[in-house]
Amino acid sequence: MVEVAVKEEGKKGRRGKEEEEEKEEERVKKNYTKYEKARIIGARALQIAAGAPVLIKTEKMDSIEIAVEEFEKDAIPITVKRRDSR
Amino acid sequence: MKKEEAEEIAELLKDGKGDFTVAELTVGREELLESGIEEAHAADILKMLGRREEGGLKLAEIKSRVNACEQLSEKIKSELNEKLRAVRRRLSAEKLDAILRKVEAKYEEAKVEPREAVGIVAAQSIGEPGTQMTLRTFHYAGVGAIYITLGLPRIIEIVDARKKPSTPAMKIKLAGEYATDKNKAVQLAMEIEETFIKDIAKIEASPEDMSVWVSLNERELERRNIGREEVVAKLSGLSTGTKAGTKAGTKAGTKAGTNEKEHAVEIEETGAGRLRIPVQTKSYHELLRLEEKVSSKLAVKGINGIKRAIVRKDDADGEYIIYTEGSALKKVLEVPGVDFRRTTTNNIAEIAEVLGIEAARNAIIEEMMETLDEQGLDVDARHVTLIADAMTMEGEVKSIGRHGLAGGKSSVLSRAAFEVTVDNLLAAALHGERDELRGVTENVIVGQPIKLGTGAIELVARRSGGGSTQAKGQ
Repeated sequence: MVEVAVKEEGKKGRRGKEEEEEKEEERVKKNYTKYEKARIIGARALQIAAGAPVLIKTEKMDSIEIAVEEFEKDAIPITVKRRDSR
Repeated sequence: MKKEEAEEIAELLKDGKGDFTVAELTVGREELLESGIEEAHAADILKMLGRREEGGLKLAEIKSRVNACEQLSEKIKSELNEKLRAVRRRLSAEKLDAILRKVEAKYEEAKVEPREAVGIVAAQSIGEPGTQMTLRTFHYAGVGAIYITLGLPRIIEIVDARKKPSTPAMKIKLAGEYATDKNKAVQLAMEIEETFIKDIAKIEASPEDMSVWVSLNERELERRNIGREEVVAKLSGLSTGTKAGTKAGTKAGTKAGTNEKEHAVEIEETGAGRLRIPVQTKSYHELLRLEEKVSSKLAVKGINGIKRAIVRKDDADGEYIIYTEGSALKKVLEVPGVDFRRTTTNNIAEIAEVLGIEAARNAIIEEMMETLDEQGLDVDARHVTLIADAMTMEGEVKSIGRHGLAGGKSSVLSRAAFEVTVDNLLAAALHGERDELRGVTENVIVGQPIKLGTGAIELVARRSGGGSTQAKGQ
């Protein structure tokens, strides 16, 4: 996958662009700050508490605990947008 | 590392440095290889020189520099190896590894993460110890007793970015012989200390013969290495006369009238080191004015602003240091015998002017840490560093006062929240001010999450589901 992106450098197709975005997402995901982690887990816990389907198999009953586990298993479909700070 | 070794290395590095310029440094690869420098090093050097292949050469210099670098790295390596071996004797490799990993983890832990409210933390970290500081303290530097403001007043002074501290003082380090020879150091101190006529002579106004008598103190003259001629020369530069004439002259715009009533002084030398200065206009008023002029205005020697200079031996390395009351960095740095690299003042504004803003930043950090230390308060340097950075980042030293960092345009709402709410809001309304709701206070007022920590994070849906599951809402 990575090789493809490198080869198609120059005339970046839609595919290349998407992959680049994915790579960026990957990079961000690995380096969440404690605040980002808290926000993601918090938002997800709120969804779960409101009745959203849980995305992992778990025995847990507490929404926050479930959210934490989902976060650890990288199952939460949420990430952060980082802007240049003003 | 031993001291001799360090000196040796420093010498070697000095040989290589000095008058290096880019032009001189342009050396070809062949030449480098020929001179016995290893391939890898030659490449490095060329890289450092901006990959210029041709040009003039100062091979000897480069060689010595490279040699010095090699020696230094060898020394560091052997030093470290020794320590490592010592540690290993008592530790297994795994344990050592575990320790190192723990150290690294601790280091990572100590880093702050983005969006942390570092400013608030810094403010609190200095504010709390501040409550424990003595409100008014003076510190004696050495036997000669130089007063220096310390404690809370000093901290306030620094943060206020005053142009002149309440007790300016300098620590003048000396170069070469001056640092080791007490007599030379004292001599230099005398050169620097501002000496007035009244310090070396008794001044009396005598109404009987309408003149001011100056009786020179021979011992003081000798101690301060001042010749009688110098004093006489200084005195003859004086002039008597009424200010009224001067003012009227300038007001009328005529230059001619200025010196109308001013007269140069005549000096009669009488025996026993006594000088007589007769008054031109025979009036008691003039007599007293002349006396005043002689005693307070005339500096015979020294640097303007240095009220006192005291020589003290440094306990740590035994060199002589001059401590002064009063500060004049620029002039003092020009004095031969002064080590201008290590000489400092506690006047931060002066440092900013003479040495630049980076030096001022360092001075702020140094001065603050010193005053905190002196009070036995242990504040992490990084808090202080942050404050110094904030104060100097605009290129000039800015003060931090009740309204935050000077020049920072604060928003209407935060101003209103601080003082005289109604007045502020009314004035803002009249002027049609806008509020961008950038700050913390503003957002609290309108009931929005603040842009700090968790509140500053913007969530978005992830396009690709992570490892185990597909994302929803794609």
